[in-house]
Amino acid sequence: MPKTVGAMFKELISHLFAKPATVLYPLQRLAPPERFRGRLIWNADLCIRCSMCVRDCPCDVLELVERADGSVDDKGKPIKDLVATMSQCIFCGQCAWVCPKDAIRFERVYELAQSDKSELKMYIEHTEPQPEPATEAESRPETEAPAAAQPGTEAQAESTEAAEESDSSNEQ
Amino acid sequence: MEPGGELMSLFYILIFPGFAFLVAFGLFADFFDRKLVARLQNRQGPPWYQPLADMIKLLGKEDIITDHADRGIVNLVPLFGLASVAAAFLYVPLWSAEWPFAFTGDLIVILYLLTIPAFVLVLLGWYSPNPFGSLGTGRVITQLFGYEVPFALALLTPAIVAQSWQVTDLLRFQLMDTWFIAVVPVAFFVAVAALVGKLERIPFDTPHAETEIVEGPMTEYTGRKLALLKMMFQTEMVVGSALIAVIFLGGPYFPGLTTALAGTLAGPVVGFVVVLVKTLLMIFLLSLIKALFARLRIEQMVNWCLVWLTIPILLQILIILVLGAV
Amino acid sequence: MGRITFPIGPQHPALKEPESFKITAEGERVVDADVRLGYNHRSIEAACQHRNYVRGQYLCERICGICSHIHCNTFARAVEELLDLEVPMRAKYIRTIVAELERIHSHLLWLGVAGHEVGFDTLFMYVWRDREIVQDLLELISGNRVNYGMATIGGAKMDLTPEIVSKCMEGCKLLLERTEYYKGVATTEGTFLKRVEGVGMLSQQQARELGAVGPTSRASNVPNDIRHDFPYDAYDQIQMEFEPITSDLCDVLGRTIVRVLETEQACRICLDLLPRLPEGDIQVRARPRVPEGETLVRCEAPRGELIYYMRSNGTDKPARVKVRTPSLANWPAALAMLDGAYVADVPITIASIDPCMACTDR
Repeated sequence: MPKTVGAMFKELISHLFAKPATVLYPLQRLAPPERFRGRLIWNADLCIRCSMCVRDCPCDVLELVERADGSVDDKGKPIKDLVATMSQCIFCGQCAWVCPKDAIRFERVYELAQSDKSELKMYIEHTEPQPEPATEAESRPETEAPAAAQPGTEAQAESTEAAEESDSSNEQ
Repeated sequence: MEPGGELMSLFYILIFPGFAFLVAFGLFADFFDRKLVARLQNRQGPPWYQPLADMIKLLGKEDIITDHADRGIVNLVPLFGLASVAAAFLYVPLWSAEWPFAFTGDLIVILYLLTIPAFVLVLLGWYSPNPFGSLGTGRVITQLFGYEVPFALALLTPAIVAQSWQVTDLLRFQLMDTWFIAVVPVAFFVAVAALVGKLERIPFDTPHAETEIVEGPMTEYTGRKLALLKMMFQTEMVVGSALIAVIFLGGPYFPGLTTALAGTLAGPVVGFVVVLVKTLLMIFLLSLIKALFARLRIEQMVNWCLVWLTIPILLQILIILVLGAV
Repeated sequence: MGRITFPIGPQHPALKEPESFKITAEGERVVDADVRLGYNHRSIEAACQHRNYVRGQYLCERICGICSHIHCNTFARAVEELLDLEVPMRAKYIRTIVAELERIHSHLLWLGVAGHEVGFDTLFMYVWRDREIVQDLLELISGNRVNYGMATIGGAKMDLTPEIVSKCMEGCKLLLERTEYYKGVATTEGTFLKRVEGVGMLSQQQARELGAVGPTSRASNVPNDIRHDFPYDAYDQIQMEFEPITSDLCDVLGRTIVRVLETEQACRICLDLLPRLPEGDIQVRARPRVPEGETLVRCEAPRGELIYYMRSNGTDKPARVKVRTPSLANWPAALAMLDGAYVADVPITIASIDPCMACTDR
């Protein structure tokens, strides 16, 4: 192997006049790819409360709890809702992959840091029109529709795109 | 000297082109170096105020002195380092050969003052209880064997050619004749390489090799002392580069421009700008060397310096003496 | 000359993870080196016994960040052996492709770190810039740059669409070019060669006796490669010539060359497999309760041979999971290399076995 001195010389000088490879975040933002696992969103109307996501989550993030006001469904059984301890979530995607109705999915939003653990939330969406909450007690602390495009992020993932991720009804 | 003259001298020493200018230019040179190395590595690089921000941050940190250290020495020694480099800068003629501080033998004084930073590191490493400190000190001393003699000889070669120990005489020689880089190119190469060793830059930065001995002699020092040490390195870079620019690259002289502006007020101003540009050119060369190479081990460095610096410069001096006799 | 004992670690700029060395040096020569491991121990093997197989797989994937897929994959293979499941061919191809992309990412990471350890920061910056190509590919395939979760028990989790396949092929071709360039730099740059040639010598006999694995042993001319000797997943479907890459230099330069050539080989494997992805399912159904049995599976992680031993007892939780990571096997070889080395060579010698403390301690 012939030894040279300064083997990278040409490369260095050529890069002196080139644009740096650095992405100047937060002035420039790269769009995450389609399958990126960002913010967690649960669709309360598509969910059939089968609790497969609860069983499979490696970090015990998800839990089905009865509503505070004790509302019951048509058959008299208490309605349960999904609550998530997002501070423990590792964004592995197992819940979205295993859900038979694609009711839980990830969005391409990654700027989720908060200074308070209680601010880390899973977002809940609805596909059916909702009645106005009658009392203060009915409005759940985690209810918040996904915000419209956050400053600087690319277009939000459409809700149908996430359906491609889970290929078929694969159950463990 | 008239009172005005003393006031003028004080202005020269403390403000311009003395201490304040040197510190400011040192900070700028540090930014220039870091930005250049970053762009060579295809990165963004820091903004222009980064070295200043680093200095301010360091000055605000806690200044820890270990029990093992002698408070007096450890407090004084960094000041001595910075002061010696600033004093050396006074004798580098920046805009013309009529330099107020010039005197016969000032080249030797500059060389002497520029060796003090190495001993600052040695003392600081000695007083550090950390084993990294003593390892670093050993390496600083060993590295001295590699670069000190070639650096001195390389700067004395033009002095032998011009038959004078005064820097301004070397400038006058370059004005009459040619720049020394054309007369003694080997001395230029040796001076630059030895300067890289003196400044402890890659490829010769084993004394404070980050991945091996953390910061070497400077490991245990924080706050004001570390700020002074960093300032010492930055100003040493400026002084060394300016010295080589003045001695080898013709200083304030630019072919055609100097004769056109001789005698006018614009002459020294343009000469000053030319010296600054040439100093930045030297710093560009140093940054390029830093980006191109890996770090050499200490014994590899000393061996390399012996083969490629000491022997060539001795041969060069021999050639000069023979040609001079002829 | 007096002896001086100094610590490298647990916190040190040379180390990316906590590990403690006590180096005793006489002047600039090392006379004794002692290593203490265990700073990263998270008792993952014990934790696996309390979790069902699905959760355990995610846990084992996070033993290491750099070689996460291979842990996920080998765990899945172990459970599939216990369940006697045959994974569809398309899933095997996908797992192999992701494993090779991970090998590229791991070796490029190592090359950059090696450059940094010898002070060659420029190589470090350029190599990591080009590593972003393979990181973007992995993010495109799986959604994450590390801990991809691509292998599940019974197959692969996500499919490769034709668009992803074409982007991967483009990326692999670009990486081939860049790796060729870095091979040139690593073998011709004078100052770099001075730091790595003749450093960290490990003879072939020492490598065999001390049980070195992976590129560490292959650079000492020991041609062990699980992908070649005991092919798993889709490695027996590779149509191009596939031999273990060895070097007889026995030093850090040899290891560098082996890793760079393996990166090229991994790019070529991906380019070979990607256009030939077979049609079909990517997943078969797996029962949650695993019948009693025990199994041992091996694979070639970027650092060497990775072994998973698993014992099941009929429930949905394993009775015992034992992981023998390659980094753990290479430590005796690393200590043997340090004998009589220069103090300045200690960081690059330790880095040449590509130590992953997270893997070692689990």
